[in-house]
Amino acid sequence: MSDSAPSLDFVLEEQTRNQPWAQGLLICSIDLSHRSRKVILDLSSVCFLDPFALIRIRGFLDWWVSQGCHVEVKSPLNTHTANYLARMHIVEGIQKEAISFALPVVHERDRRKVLVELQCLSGQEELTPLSDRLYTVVREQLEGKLAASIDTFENALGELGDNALNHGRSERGIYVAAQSYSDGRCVLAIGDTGIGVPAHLRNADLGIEGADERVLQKALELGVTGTGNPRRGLGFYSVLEAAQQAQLAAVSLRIWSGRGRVEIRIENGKQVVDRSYAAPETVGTWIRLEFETD
Amino acid sequence: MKFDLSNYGSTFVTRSSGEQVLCALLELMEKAEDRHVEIDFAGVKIATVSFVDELIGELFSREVESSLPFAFEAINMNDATQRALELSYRNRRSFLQAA
Repeated sequence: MSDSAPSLDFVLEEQTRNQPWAQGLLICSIDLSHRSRKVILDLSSVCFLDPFALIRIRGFLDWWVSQGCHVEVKSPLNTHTANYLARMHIVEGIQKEAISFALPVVHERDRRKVLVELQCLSGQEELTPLSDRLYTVVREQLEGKLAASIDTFENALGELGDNALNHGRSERGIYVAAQSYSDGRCVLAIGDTGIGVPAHLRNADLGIEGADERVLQKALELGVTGTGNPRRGLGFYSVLEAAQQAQLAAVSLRIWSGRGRVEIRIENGKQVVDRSYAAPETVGTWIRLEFETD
Repeated sequence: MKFDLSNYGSTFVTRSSGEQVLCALLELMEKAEDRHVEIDFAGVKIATVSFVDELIGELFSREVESSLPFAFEAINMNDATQRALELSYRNRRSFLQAA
C-alpha cells in the first residue's frame, strides 16, 4: 500500500474499542502488483457499523476506484450488517464495473426519521436540503428534551460540511451520514479525502508548528483559520462551544486528519476529555460527532 | 425598513449563503432612502455561526470601521442564532482590538 493510501485501521480500532458487541475484523488485502490492480476489502466478519465506519468505507472505496483499481468487497455475513450497508446506500454512485459488492436487496422501510443515508456531496447548495433531512432525524431523538441541542447538531453539519467542502478540496466531494438510536444517541459523520486540516493550516503559514495532532488541536481554537482571513476560524470552535451550552448528557467529538487525532468529550456541559495524539496517516479529514441525551 | 430573511429561505447553513444575502441587502440599501434596516430572522429555522458571521458579523465590522453607510438591527433571532451572533461578535472584536 502506498504511503498516502487511506487506511481503515482506525475504523477497526473504533469499532472494537467503543462497541463492545463488535466482534468483527476488517481485513484489507491490496495487491497492486497484479495487472488487474485489484483491492479486496473483507467485511465478512464485521457485525456492527455506524455512520462513521460507513463514510470511511465509502471514502476507501472511492479512493481506490479513483486510482484505477477494481475493488472487491466481501459482504458481511451478519445479515443485519449487510442489510444496513445496503440500506445506507454504500455503493450508490460508484461505477458498477469498478466494484464487486454483493449486497442484499432490502425492502426499504421509511426510516427517514432516524437516519440519513450516506450522501456524497460536491456543492454547498446540497448542504441545505441535507440539513433539513438531519433536522428531522435529530428532532425525533431530541425534541422535548432540549431544542438547543437540535440547533447544535444542525450548526455542526453546516460548519463541518462547509469547512470540508471549502477547505478539504477533494475532487470526490464530502461524505455525510447520520443516525439516531433508540437509546438516545445521535451520530453525525462527515469526511473527505482532501488535503486534511494539518496540511491546510500549514499551507496558510500561520506559524503553527509541531506534529499533526498539535496542529489539529490548534484548529479547535477560536480565530484559527487557513483561509487567510483572520476574521474567520469559527467552525470547530463554534461546534464545541455550542456542545457545551446544549446541556446534553454527553457530547463526543473525534477528528482524524493527517497523522493526528483529537478527542473531546463533554459531559453535562463540562469538558472531561481533551486528548490529541499521533496516529497512522489517513487521507483527508474524518469527523464523528455523537450526542447522548440520557 | 425591514429586510425579511424568510424571503431567502428558512435554512442557512453555509458562509456563502451569508455572502449572497449580504450582497442582496447592500444592493437594496444602496437604493433605499431609509438609513436604518431591521434584519428580520422571523421564520428562520436554522442559521449557522458562519452564516450569521458573514451577514451580521460583517455588517458589525463595517460599522465599527465606519464604512457602513446605514444603521442595522437584527430582530426576532432565536436563542441559537443569538448565541451564534455573540460568538461572531466576540471573534471580530478580538480581531479589531488586535489590529
